Amino acid sequence: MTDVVEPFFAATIRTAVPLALAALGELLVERTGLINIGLEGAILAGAFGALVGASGHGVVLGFASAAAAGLIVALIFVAFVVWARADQIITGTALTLLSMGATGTLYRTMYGSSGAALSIPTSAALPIP
Amino acid sequence: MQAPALRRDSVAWELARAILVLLAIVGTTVLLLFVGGYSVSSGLAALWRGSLGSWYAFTSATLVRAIPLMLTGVAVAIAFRAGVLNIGAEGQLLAGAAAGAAVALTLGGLPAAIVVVLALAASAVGGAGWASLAAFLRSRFAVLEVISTIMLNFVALYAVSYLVRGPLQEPTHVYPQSSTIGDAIHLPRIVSAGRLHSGLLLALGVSFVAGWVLRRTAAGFRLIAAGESPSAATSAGGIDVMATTTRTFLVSGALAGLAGGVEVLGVTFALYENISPGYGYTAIAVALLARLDPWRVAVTALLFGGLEAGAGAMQRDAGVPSTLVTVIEAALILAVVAAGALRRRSSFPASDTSPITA
Repeated sequence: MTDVVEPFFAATIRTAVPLALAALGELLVERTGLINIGLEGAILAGAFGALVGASGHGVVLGFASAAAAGLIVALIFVAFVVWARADQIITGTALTLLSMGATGTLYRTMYGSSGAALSIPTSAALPIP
Repeated sequence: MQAPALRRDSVAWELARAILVLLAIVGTTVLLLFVGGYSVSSGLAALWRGSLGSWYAFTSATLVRAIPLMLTGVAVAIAFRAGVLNIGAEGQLLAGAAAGAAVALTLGGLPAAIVVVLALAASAVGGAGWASLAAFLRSRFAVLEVISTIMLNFVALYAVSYLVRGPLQEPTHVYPQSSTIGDAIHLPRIVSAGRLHSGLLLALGVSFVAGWVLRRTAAGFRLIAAGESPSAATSAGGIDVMATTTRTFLVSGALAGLAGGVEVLGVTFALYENISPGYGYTAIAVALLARLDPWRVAVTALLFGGLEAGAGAMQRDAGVPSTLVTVIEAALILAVVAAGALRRRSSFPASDTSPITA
């Protein structure tokens, strides 16, 4: 029985982590009265940042550069929405598009378009008591 | 929603703006190619070859891609004009494609012309039906249409993925796609030796009629008034804002659905998962760059059709990732909204009551 239940719970927690982190971020921005549809773009940028950071310098820098990449996307959002007072929805949609294009282009420029799986150092398994 | 007026600027001013946009596109492309370490000259040459370089490229690549962009672009433009932020053109396109394919495949026995008309009608109804979910939630429970339409895009994506593995899968049950639609039911080609189909005439017609309705009819005036200022439209104009915006939402969905039907009957001839490379999202850029004017959408759709056609050629011939064009499209959207917002801010420094302005 446990060999069915255990992977199920493990997978649940694994998929819940990015959702929880992204939702936490959106919660913060919505508390300020803004709505950031470009969250997907920040996640994509973060994933790419993690790849670049971790492949050269290990897990810690991977996390740091992931957060920095998300911050860059957020800064663009702020520049357009708060400073220039552009439409939040359209800016957010454009940012998702921008991030999709930019990460795709950068990935293929830096690692080629072979689609070969890259391997990078990953964080160790965290035992759940 | 403070959309720019539908006035006609002087020809010189329109030309200047068009040249500026083209320069911005070429400039961004050169910059991105340079930064990415690609050969600028071979990249630009491939972009030109794939989009305008030959009669074949222009008709079979650029125009073919411009057709769905024109239909979805008009769909987004009229919705945004009415203050309905319909981000769901992609989902409505997929719903229309599924409905059109289902009708074309089931009614094989009827005369071809009738099947084509019925399939296109079904795709429009499918798109409107998909939009009606969000329209109902909006009018009944004040659910933000931005959120509901984005969510429904994913529902439509997975619904198509289910259909092509379930009820609509081809008879051998090997490939995740529907059967191929018979030759007789294809939209007729309008250029010999090419892929350009008569959907172009439909798209141009839709764009012309939509622009005419907005400019010259009472319905168009109500639509614009409801979008510009719902409270003024209600109190001073006696306009039923909710009914007007709901109707516009449904028409917008119908046009996006029609784009899906036209793709199935004119280009793909079958339903499968990646039937749209994000036409519904690019449509937002197409509509904004056209300043939400259906007539100008016909031009900007052509521009984006050319960009996407050229992107394919850049990837094939110069090894430049085609996603580069996505970056250019996103940069164009951002530039347009920022320019509009800054212009308004400089003319009305203290008036920022409405957070939604495009």
